[in-house]
Amino acid sequence: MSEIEDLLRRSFEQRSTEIVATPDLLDRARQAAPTDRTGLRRPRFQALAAAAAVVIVVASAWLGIQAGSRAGTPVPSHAPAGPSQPAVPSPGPSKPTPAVSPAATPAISPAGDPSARPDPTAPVPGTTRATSGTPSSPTQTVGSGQVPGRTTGPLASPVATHP
Amino acid sequence: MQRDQYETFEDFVAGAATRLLRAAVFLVADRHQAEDLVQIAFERTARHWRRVVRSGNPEAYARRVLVNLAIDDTRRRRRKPALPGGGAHELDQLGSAAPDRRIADLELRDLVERSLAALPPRQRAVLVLRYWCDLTEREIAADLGISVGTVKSQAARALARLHQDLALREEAR
Repeated sequence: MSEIEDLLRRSFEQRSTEIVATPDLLDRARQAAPTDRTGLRRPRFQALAAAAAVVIVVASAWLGIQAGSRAGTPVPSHAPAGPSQPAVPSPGPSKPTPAVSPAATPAISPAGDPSARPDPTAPVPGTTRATSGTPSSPTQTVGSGQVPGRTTGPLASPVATHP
Repeated sequence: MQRDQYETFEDFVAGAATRLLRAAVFLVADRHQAEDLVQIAFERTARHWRRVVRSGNPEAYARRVLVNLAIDDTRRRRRKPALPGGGAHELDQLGSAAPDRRIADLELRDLVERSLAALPPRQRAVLVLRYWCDLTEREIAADLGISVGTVKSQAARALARLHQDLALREEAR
């Protein structure tokens, strides 16, 4: 087997002397190089640019939708105009403000329009309006003592105890 | 193979082109086809030049690309109808170009090259990498993406077939 190996090596050696890269091949190889001397990889930069463009388009579309949804919030046509109608719910301590000034709130406004949209900034039932004593307030029923478990007690029905 | 350090891609092309071309001719037995494959190998190397340079051995990377291109190309050409002369086109040219040089070595070399060209592409690649590029079995395995055991078995089969082929041709003469 070593004879064949020697033969192979000799054959390669002899043959290789006849094979030399031509200037044409060298020129083609140099010109075919897609990267210049800086070594920048253009396909990668192109991919990055394309990805950045997609991100920008998606982000701008999303922002546009958000802005459109805010600007396009339906305002009731019969709602009382003025500064008392907050367009955007204001977070924080300013939230219970409508409860302090009932006239500003459409739901309890004297000019109350049944078609008026409920104020999103209205205080949560049972918190601030519980003290207002409005009969129609849902907290009124809660405040009347109808707490689950109390209805079975002896004091749950004062009418029954008094003749 | 030594670890080459090239300043630029142009330096690399100038330094490695002939070595890669020789390997390519041994792999595909066709000078023009070999030049095309070398050019493709250079293109692919240039595409990843930074990473290739960082690996420390650009020529090994280009050779790996070249060998795999040559194996694919030879398989593709074998699937097509064989042309007159087959894969030994370049070798035929060599034989006809030297009719007066009736030297025993040349004839024997011609026989070796014909037998080599008749081997399956991977076996031929193993022999070229082992006996021309002087790679170790582990390096050949890495280049071809096969195990060291497969390299050994492919080399043994290729040498046995070469031995048998040469013996038959010698008898026929």
